[in-house]
Amino acid sequence: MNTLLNTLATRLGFHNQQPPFSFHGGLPLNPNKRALGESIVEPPLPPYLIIPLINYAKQSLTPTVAVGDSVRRGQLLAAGVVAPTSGKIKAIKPHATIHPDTLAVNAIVLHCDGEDKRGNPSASDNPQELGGASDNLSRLIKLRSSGKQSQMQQLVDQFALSGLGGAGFPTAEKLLGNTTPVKTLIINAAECEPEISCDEALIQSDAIDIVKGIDAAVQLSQCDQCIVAIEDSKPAAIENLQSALKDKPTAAQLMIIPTRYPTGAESPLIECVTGKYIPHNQKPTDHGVVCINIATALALWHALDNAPLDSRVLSLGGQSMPNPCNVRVRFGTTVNFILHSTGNNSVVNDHRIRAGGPLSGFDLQNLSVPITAHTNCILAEPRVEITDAQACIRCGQCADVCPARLLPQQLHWHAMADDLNGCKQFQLDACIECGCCDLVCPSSIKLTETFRYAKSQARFRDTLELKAVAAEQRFTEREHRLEQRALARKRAIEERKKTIQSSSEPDREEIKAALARARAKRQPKQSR
Amino acid sequence: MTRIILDKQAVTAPTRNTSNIMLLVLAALVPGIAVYSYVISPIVVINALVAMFSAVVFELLAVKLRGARGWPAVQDGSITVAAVLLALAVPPGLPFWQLLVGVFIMVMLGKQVYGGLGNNPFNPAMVGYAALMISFPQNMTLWFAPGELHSAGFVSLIEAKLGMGQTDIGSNKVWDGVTAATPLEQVRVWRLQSLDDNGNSTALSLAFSASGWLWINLAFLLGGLFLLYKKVIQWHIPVAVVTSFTLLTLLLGQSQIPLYQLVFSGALILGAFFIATDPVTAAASNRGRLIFGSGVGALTFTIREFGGYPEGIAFAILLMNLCVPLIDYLDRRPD
Repeated sequence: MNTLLNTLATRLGFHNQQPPFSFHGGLPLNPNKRALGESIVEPPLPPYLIIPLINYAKQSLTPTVAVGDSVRRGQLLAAGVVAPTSGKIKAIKPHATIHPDTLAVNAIVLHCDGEDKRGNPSASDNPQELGGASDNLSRLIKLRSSGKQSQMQQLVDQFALSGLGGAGFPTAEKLLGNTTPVKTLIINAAECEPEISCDEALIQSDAIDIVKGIDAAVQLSQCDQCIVAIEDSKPAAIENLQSALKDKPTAAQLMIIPTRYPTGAESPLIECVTGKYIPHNQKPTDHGVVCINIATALALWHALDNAPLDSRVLSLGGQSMPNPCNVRVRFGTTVNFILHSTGNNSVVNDHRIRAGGPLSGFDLQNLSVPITAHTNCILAEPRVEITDAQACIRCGQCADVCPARLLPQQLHWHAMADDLNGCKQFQLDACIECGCCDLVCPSSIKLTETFRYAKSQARFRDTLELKAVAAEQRFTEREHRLEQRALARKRAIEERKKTIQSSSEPDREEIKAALARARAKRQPKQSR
Repeated sequence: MTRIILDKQAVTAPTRNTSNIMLLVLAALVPGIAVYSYVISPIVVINALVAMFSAVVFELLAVKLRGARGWPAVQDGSITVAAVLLALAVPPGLPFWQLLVGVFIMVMLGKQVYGGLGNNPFNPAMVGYAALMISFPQNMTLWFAPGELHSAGFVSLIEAKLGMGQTDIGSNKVWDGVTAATPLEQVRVWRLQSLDDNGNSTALSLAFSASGWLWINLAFLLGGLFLLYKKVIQWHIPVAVVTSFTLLTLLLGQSQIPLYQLVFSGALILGAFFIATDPVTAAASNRGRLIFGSGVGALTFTIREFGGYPEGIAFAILLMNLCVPLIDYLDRRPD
């Protein structure tokens, strides 16, 4: 009866009044976690790794190593980037990355020596710096409370921590760099997208270390409460987490949330856990909410234990994957190598290989691209014919499922007309590209594709505008400089004229003679 | 640009395409049409078929002229729905050639000049209706009371509509006197003659006529509820139309007819559930839909009560279509 009433209430648009709150939009999807097996597969080390020199904000990084250098596992290669294994740097050159358009960025090609030797040569000089995990944690907390920002940053840089969810935002900044006090720390174990089960697999195998990581995150962020949010479709993982949380007393509480895509995305999750909807132009931290992925919490624990983040677990799934599983791979391993080393090489030639989930991912054009911190899934799907989209009848089903509360039908109208200002008015920036609208569109319109395109157009236009503004500024500054220079010259001439006029007779004679000499010198040149 | 395709196979979610939606709308119209042909005349089915067929032909022609592939445009079924709605909106006795003119204007000026489905600012069926109303006002206001057309005979009616035979519809040669055709027409006549005419034969026939129209509208309401249940339409527009109309009638209405007869006569129910809810020409957000629907209801009341036409919902919908871009601009984000 109660559930019936609840469904009726949500159908009529009333939201839950206690946690877990319901969020706007979304879809109940079949989890379809094919990759979830007994254990996590550990493939051998690849012959070489490709490490893109780019950070989460798409800024290119300057390498701190040179071609020919030997590096050890965990050694810094650039700000926030560590070597995933030991070996020799063969080249630093542009290489294709996981990107809808296979964008090439500058990357380090690291030939692995197979020994996988750990240790940062520079840090091993003073071994007392290498304490245990709890030492590192208390050091960090001490540094934080005493306000030694630069020392703290130095320590944090060695962790090479980035979010293992989707965006790859630097985790240390989330936990330590807050100006407003953190009220709620949310550990995201929702993993809402079908096919993806890497976090679930980690919880099943490593729950105890995960809880240690969560505890570290609680201490670092100094939050009032910590909530671990997990979807109710993962009973085994929930049980593991519950018993691990019982063993280690922490401030963290488990919250079981309904299975509804995309609860795992940041803003729907925050809405689900706290009941607060955070508009897209505000940051969760402004509201005292910090959200990190559960795999990131585990990586935090390992990093405190002097094992910087250099690998991740990802799911191999999809309809055509012959051997679906979760694999632990080093960053920089190519998709091709992963498929071959897990016995999935048969799909390479005649299937679509997709990076990211069935909804939020995209098809890869090139399989020699390296995986990074935010590659959570590789799918193999049969090639299908693309059906032509019909006209939009503005039925509004897309708006009903949009978790960002947008009007996709209006956005589509403006995006198709290349009206970027119109897109901005309808808040295209808030789109999280979850793909719910595509799924329900009765006219099979590829809305998300259109929005990604419009977003890239808007970004391009913004950079052009920035460049134009900078050019204008340079121009006006140059004009000003020239003006000043001309003024100064004019003043100097006047001054000299004045001194000449005021100078004595013999001086003038001398000047006249000098002028005559100069003229005589110039004469032959003119006659030529 | 890479094609980013969604894996519909990988996820199970309700998927419904545009053609299915249009088929559901047609299905929802069936009870209304059935009662209509029982109460008034089966000629309405012929009208609907003629309008549907000619609309498809005109649509194919227009799409060809625009240089696009014709069949997919027809397949979505939107023009079929519009044609049936137009056929239901016009008086059943309207000559076929005039109906064809209406369909032609509906397809060409209501839809295709703007670039086909999804791009038209006005409801195509209502554009066709308005053009007919202005061009052929006499025939467009010639309604018959329930039963009148049955007595005339089906064949002679078709002959009349084709312009053959000895009969002419406009001059009432087939039928004696057109009194109390629709309750709304009677209300208008009363109002124009400032009569307070209760309790005589007119009122009796009016009651009979009103009950016929009541049944027709109840059947359309049934179809509308079916669409709501199937989630083809949302509740906002029909509820707003009927509510604002009812409230204004209670506050400002002067007619002697009971309120339920006013709501269930004319095309208010058909318009509220089937025509105003056309998503292409209605507001996008739920709040916008409430505003849009209230506007339609208010304008319908205004035209019925103070205007020169017995029924106002067609013009009300067209006028509110005009406001949709403004409503959409003001309400850019649903909450």
